[in-house]
Amino acid sequence: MERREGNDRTTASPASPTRRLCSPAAALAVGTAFALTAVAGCASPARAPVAAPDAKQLAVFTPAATHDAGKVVWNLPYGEPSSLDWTKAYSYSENTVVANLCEGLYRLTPDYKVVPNLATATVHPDPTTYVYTIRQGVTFWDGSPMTATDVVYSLSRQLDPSVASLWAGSYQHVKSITKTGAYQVTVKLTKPDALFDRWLATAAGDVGSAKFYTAKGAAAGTPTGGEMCTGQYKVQSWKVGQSVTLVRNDAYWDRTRLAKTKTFEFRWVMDEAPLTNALLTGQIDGTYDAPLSGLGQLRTGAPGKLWLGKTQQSVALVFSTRKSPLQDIRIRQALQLAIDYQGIDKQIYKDTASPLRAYGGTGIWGYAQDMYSAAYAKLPAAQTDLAAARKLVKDAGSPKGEIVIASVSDQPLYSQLATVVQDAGKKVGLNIRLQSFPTSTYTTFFSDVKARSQVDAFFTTNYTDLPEPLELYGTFRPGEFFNFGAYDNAATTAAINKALVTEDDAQRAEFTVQAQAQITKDVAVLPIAEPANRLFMNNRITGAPASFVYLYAPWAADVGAK
Amino acid sequence: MIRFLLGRLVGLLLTLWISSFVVFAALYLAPGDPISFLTGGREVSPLTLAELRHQYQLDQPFLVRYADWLGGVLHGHLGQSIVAHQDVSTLIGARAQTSALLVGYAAVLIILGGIAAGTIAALFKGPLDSGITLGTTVGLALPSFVTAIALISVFAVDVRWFPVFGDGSGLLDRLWHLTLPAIALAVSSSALIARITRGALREELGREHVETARSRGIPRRKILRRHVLRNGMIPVTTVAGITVAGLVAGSVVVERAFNLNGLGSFLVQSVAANDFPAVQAVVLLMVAVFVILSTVVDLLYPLIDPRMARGGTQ
Repeated sequence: MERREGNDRTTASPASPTRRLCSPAAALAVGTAFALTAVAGCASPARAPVAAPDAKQLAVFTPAATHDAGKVVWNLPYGEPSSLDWTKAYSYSENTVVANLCEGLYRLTPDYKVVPNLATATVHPDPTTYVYTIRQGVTFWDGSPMTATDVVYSLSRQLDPSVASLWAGSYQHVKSITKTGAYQVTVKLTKPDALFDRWLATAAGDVGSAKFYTAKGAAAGTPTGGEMCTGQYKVQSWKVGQSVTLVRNDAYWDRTRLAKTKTFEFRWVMDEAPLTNALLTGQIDGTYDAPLSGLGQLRTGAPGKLWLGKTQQSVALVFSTRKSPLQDIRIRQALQLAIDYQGIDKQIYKDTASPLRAYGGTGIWGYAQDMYSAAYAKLPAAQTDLAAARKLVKDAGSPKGEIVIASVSDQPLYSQLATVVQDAGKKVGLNIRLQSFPTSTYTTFFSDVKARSQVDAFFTTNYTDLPEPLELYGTFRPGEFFNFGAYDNAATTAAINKALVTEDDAQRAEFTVQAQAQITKDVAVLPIAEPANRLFMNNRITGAPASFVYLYAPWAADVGAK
Repeated sequence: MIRFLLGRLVGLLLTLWISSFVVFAALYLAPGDPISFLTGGREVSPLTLAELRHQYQLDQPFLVRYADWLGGVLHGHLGQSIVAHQDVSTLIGARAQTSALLVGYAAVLIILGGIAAGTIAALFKGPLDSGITLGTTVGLALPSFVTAIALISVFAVDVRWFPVFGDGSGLLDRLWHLTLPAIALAVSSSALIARITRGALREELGREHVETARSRGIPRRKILRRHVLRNGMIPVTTVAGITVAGLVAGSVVVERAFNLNGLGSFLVQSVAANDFPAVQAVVLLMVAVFVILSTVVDLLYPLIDPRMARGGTQ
């Protein structure tokens, strides 16, 4: 029996106002093995400094805001949210906003800790049972108290076919969700699932008013239907096609974490040039995913600062099952050795990305960081070695067959990466052809085998929802949704299967790094780069977390005037 | 006249019906589906995927879906956007205002600016004419996105007289926000109108009846107004009508450059997301506006030249 309660889960108290800062200079410096000690200040005090030998040093926090900024205008580079219902919040824009409205049983901190939130304690008496103690004294925006009934209702919504929650996958092993006390909810699983409890720190664990969502039905989350949660902000208005405006919830239950700024207005400028101009002129105060093409201007000429933060994203080239020379591991190895990783960082990412040794980057280690760090350091560094690559191609019989790589016509990033890979192939005698697709077709590659069979390889930008490497490596079992190349290795599958049911962090990390080593050795996927989380804030404001945590953590509450 | 209008109305309905079928079929055949766009390629459980496809009837055969959609339209219901979870009519309503204002603003600039420049060039030979001809040559060659970039960098980023993006609220604020976009949209079209006006007026000026009138000593101003301008306006009206009608769809580039919330960028977004109810509705609206505007132009002819009244009603 394992018992975890309150702050035992973590080392930081949820109310802790601690802000540890990385200077922008350190954030921009290219890290080396020797830089490890110099950057220890960026890491949380409770853990060993985390850094990969060849990764850039990245910030987690920005200086804390001192007072109300009145109104902050923030950009959503991926467009207008399609819904603000947390069951439909499954992509950048939606999650960036919903994270400030609705809260879950747990909360993620900018340095990727999972701390108690709407649940004050969790008891885990056996591998398939979780008993959550629900926090008392929490009210929804309309003043009604949050009860265990609301929690049961909200979690159960994830399983309701008429809701069709996009998060339903994280509830795949849930057998029942029941109210077992005035402030107690018990979840039973059909089989052990080491990730289920952690999912509750994302939008999958959000809680809203049962009364409200029952009444609103399908209208919930739309501009007219609205939402009813407990977060630090509530929705003031949603002007279709124009803006979503949030206003501070002054009755928020945790008085120490009241939102700094009264009004938060979201706009969506999606094209890079107008966005750069809007940031330069101060029409927009801040944005995540600052535009790559505007980085030069934002770094030097802007009335603000560009922050490079820790990320959970990684960019990789994944393979389909179509017959091509890429099915020979030596050809994949050759391609991996031929790619100019430094060029990608300099030219495409404007010095904001790090090369990757594995599919999962250095930012996703939410626990057992020493183990992950050591295992990562043992993997070969991403380096260009054309002689070795040519030898591998020769050993494979110098295949002349065509390799088709998808390029995405309306996404310059992928077009540029495709060109770099084509160029790498040419240097070592591989016949690579680029085929261009619009985004609408490209997104079907992920869900449709037939669609992706038009090409031999395509690029993906992945992020883990949780700081959990297993979320990435778990997809390398036969039959998994993201196992595009039908990778099947008995040792990998066995390691993943064990990890998925292992709740002890160190043990789970042990199994996960085994899978990572095998997947990396087999070049089951070709890691390209780990792009830093690019945050821009103008000189008026500060406080937004620099890390990638903004999809699920209530980040806007920290933004205010300097 | 009534028969003419009825004929136009039947033509409009037929055009709408045919184009709706073509657009529907094109979207059906195009790869991609709104659900995978909605999830951005992220993993979704197969059960959820099936449920969503069922909710939006994506699992139905083509003709069933088309008939369903058509039935809805005949009952005045344009359908629900799959991506935005809202009625398409609501989504369009918010954007149509911006588009109408932008196109209207640009149309005024095109017609007034174009006709004025063309008339001056036609009447005053010499450096003024050469200057305007040179200007219109440059204007015609300028794509609207280049004009937009130039206007933004000078007037929005450097001197900051105008905002960089957005469509504002309230009439005056909106007009202020839409000034640069309207100019960007108007430059090449007004150059075209100026060229057409100049050519048409020059031709009229050389006509026999104008020469005759002039030789009979009729005042120049009267000749210009009654014979030259009036006759010259017929080709100008035709081209201006088509140009303005085309702006409705053509404004997308400018809308993107200024991040305006108009129908053009909404159409592009909806196509990219394969959100067919939204695409259908916007396309139908654009077709309708085009047909209606060209009907209005047809109705203007008899006002300019009464001789055409008879031709129009036959």
